[in-house]
Amino acid sequence: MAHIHCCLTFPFATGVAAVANVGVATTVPAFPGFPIGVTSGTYDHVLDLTSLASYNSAFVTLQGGTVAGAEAALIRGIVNGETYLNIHTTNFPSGEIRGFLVAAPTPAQLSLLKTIPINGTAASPNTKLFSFDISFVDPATGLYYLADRSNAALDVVDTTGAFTGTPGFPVWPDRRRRL
Amino acid sequence: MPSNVAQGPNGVAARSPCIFATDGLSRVVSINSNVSFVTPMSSVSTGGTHRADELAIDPNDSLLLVINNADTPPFGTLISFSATCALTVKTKIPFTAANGINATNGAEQPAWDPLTQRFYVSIPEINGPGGGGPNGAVAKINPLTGAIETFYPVNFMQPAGLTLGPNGDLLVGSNTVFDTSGTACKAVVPAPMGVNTTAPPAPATCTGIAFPQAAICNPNRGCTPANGSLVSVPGVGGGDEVWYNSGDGNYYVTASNDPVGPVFGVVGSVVNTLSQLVPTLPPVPANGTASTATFVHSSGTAHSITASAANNHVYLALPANTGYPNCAQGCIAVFSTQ
Repeated sequence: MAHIHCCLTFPFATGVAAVANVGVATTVPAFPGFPIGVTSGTYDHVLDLTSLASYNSAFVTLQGGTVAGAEAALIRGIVNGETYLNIHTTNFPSGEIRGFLVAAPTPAQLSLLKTIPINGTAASPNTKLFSFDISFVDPATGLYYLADRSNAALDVVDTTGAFTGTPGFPVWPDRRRRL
Repeated sequence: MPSNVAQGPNGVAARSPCIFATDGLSRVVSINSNVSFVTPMSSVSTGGTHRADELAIDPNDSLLLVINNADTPPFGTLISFSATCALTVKTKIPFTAANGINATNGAEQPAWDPLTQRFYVSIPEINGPGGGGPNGAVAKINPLTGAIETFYPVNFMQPAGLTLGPNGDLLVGSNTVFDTSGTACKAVVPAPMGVNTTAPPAPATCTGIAFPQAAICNPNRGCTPANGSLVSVPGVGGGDEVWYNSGDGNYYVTASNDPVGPVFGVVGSVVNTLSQLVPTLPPVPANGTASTATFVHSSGTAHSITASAANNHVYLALPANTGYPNCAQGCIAVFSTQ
């Protein structure tokens, strides 16, 4: 048997008690066409969440008796980490292979635009940046700050590219630069 | 001297014209950019023996909450600032059982929520063994009294990064990845020591199925899974700083020890789900050959992140490496949707 259980009482719950009363959302005993009675195989299927045939009737009833209700509940369960795929076998009737369903990240949208080099200080120009901590952009000024431990400095970058001055920085050496 | 005693600067925040920075030996410094970038306006001590670390600003009451993460016990300090950015130490807030929360593995990033008029602080571990325990929390602090009013359990994470998103939501990052049995995964490289290391960086390793996650916690609604005000954001974990960019509505979550490798995650604040994992610095040597190299510490690969709401550029600090252009001595990598 292979199907998707929904919905756990809290995300990614594990243990016998946590899954004891979690019902089956998809068709029982198994997905349509899932190989049964074998010890190996492959399975590739698109589950149409808008189709009544994709669900366990008990799950549909529990979600108000409509496909739309079942679809919303299953998607919500997947998004919230409250569903799991379970493959039951003769040797392990409570489930031999089990995993939580999670939403797959969409293809990358962000990509590298450029890099801004961080040089050493005037007193130690060859120092490399290895250790640093928090960074912060002040929305009022557009200034970016980096706590630069390697250079014992605050690195300051103008994200607006506006200023040209090079004032010294009080506590740490001058680290102000243009973007 | 241990690196977490004197190392700095560590945290930085700004509310124009004031710039606040935390430093080694419990020092907190303010700068008034209208007056001088050369002479600090103020320098105070939080009274600890180790570094002052992360901080947050309450603009309503002109207060800072500064965290001494490495002192025993860890503690916070409320510090007021004047219109000229002068600092005055007000109240010390120990994160102890006697004071409301038994923090057993430090304290991390604070955040200010104008909706509830409270500070919140990530507490990586409560009542635990001192690292790797599955019970973390977000503590709620009254800015006027310094009282720890309550804390919200956040389990199977060690809360570290904390940032305020829309509707009073807090995104909580985790510095540790747990597997699905609740066991903390191990990072090949030990916890950040603030220096480069001779060991190659590597992602977390787990004895079970790794389950990296962040969380969305809404304190105003109780921050509880019972009503959906505490929800998991699976797919990204094992990092430090997190940031919310109101310009694009995304959270950005560092994950230097994510099981898939050093990445940062993009989490949409509308659906509170991961939309993208961006690989950052691969485990490459900063210099030398593979056998002789000084390697970049894994904490540097995806550790410090922020973004500008004006241009929606995302800024990720990177240590010296040969994998990125113009980064031989270190750099800031700028990401955008271009």
